[in-house]
Amino acid sequence: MDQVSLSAEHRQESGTRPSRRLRAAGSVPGVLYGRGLDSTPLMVDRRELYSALHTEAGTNALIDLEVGGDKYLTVARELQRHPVRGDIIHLDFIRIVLDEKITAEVGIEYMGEPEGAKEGGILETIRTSVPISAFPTDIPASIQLDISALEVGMTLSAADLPVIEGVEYLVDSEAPLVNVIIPRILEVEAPEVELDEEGLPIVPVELDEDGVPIEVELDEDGKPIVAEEAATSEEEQDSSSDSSS
Amino acid sequence: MLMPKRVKWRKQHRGHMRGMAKGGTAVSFGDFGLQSMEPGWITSRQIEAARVAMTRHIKRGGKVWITIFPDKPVTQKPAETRMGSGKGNPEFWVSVVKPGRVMFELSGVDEPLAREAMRLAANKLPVRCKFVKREEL
Repeated sequence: MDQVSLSAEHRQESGTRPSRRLRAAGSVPGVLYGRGLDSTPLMVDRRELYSALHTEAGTNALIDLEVGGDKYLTVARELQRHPVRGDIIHLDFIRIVLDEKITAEVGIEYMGEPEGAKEGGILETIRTSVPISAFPTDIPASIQLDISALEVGMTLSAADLPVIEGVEYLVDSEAPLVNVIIPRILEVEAPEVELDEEGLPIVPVELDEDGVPIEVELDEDGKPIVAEEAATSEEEQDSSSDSSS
Repeated sequence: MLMPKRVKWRKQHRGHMRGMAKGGTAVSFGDFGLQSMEPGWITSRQIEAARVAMTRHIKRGGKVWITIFPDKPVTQKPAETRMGSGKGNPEFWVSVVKPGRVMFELSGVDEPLAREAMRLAANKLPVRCKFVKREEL
């Protein structure tokens, strides 16, 4: 886990308008607390904060915060972002010690292309991160999970996450992470129809129990008369003959 | 088209659209999103048109989420009617969108395809939009 240093200054004024003035001047307001430390308002330089939170460890980086000559080992939490620009407008620095476990949200890196996706399935990512508990130095930058063997209809759950020494996953082992689903529209191949010499489709001939083709009666147009139709036409004929008699 | 199944009151005031979106400003379900840069009313027809444009472009891959819902009724008086005689009839439904609101999300496709699908969807909406990606931890 990366450990970065960041300098901060005490902040005397608090509230909306002083905070806006600070942001306009290139600083980010924040607060430091944890492990018996009183809540201390402070401010950090925006560019320094950006570089501190954009290492390989991301927002889980261990930050050596220097405030007025004192040094504190912290992690950044509760990042508030601007709704449109997305830049950080406020954050909390939580004081930690190296010999006590902390919780963190670590991103999952899915490796490889699933077999199911090659066959036409759609890879659906249900979770992109997972909460863990670990000593601060044991927190991984990301968790790699190989999904290349995933076939259509298969799901990987939290139980499939790799075992990392010193890391405890704080998620139900049956919680789904990723699956390959069947697309809604499937391409269906049209059945092949055999054609005769004139290019007309050959109608398959039905066979009886002895393997002899069943003779099909044809109507005036040369179309086969279906058994039901033949039955009804006979009945009609019978009824008409009855009525005439 | 999207509309509520049942409402407590048939007609609403128009209201204001001051400030920025309070929630729903990050990509939560998919990998890519379409974020509003302006306040506006998005009608259920516009939401449907944007959804159709997006799903047609991505064909059978990917998954689309609509993260806004038109829950506000808009009334209109009939044409050539004199003023007065009370509020008009509810005609259509809108979703009130403020700057920063993620309206559509998409996953299961690569970025260039998602960008083009979102561009087509944004053309159906009455607000300026921005293509956004999920924030990496």
